[in-house]
Amino acid sequence: MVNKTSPKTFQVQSQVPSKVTNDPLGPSPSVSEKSVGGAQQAQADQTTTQQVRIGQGIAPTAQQALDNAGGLLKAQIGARAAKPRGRGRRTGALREPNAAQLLRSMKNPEALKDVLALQAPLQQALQN
Amino acid sequence: MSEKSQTRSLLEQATASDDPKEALRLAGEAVSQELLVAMKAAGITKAEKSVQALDAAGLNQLLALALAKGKLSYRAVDDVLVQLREALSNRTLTAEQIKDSILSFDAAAQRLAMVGGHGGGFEYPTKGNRARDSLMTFARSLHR
Repeated sequence: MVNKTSPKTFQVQSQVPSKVTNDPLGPSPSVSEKSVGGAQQAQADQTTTQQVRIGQGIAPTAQQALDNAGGLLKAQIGARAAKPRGRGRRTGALREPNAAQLLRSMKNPEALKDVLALQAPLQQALQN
Repeated sequence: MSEKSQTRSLLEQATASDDPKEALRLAGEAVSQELLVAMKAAGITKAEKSVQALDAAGLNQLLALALAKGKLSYRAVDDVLVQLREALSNRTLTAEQIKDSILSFDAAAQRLAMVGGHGGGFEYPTKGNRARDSLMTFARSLHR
């Protein structure tokens, strides 16, 4: 966060002029309306303006928004990966009968032919 | 009375019945009985449990219909799915019971088709079989 009192913080803030110069809202009234006096005065005004505007949360540039979105995404992925799973029941996909397994599970497959032999009487019974 | 003669008797009753629903019920019972005996003779484990699951949702009747027609028809599956959805909403059957019944039906139909072989009177392909796909999709939807 912005530390308004520390002079060191002022230095750091003045290194990000793009935040102000590329400001999509344009220059702030306090800067544009000021008459250009001494260089020192202008510098002081600029830093003050930056400080206030950054403190208020100026609209980010497109690049900043992109960077920030990337950062957010990374944070979200990290949070998701770290999130422990619930204690609910674990279920995978439905285990459907597999032809090869079914065949292997029969010691005497020929016995099932007795069921197929019912076809004719079933046709007769269900012809209605 | 032996199991064979019981099956024969059930089929005779089904043939004699004027009520198509009753005939189908008796035919389904006959198929279940014969299937249980055959599965035990084939050395299939948990044969009783499998047939019980098949009977629980009445899919033994669907198997009887499929055997009579030589294949599982889409219309028969559609009718059964309507009944199963109704049973589910009325809570006469649980989702687990229906799912197990469908899986049991699928396993039995696959086994019978394999044993019969190609041109053996009963076709039940696992690919390109819309009727089976419909049934299995419903089973998957019940899987939690």
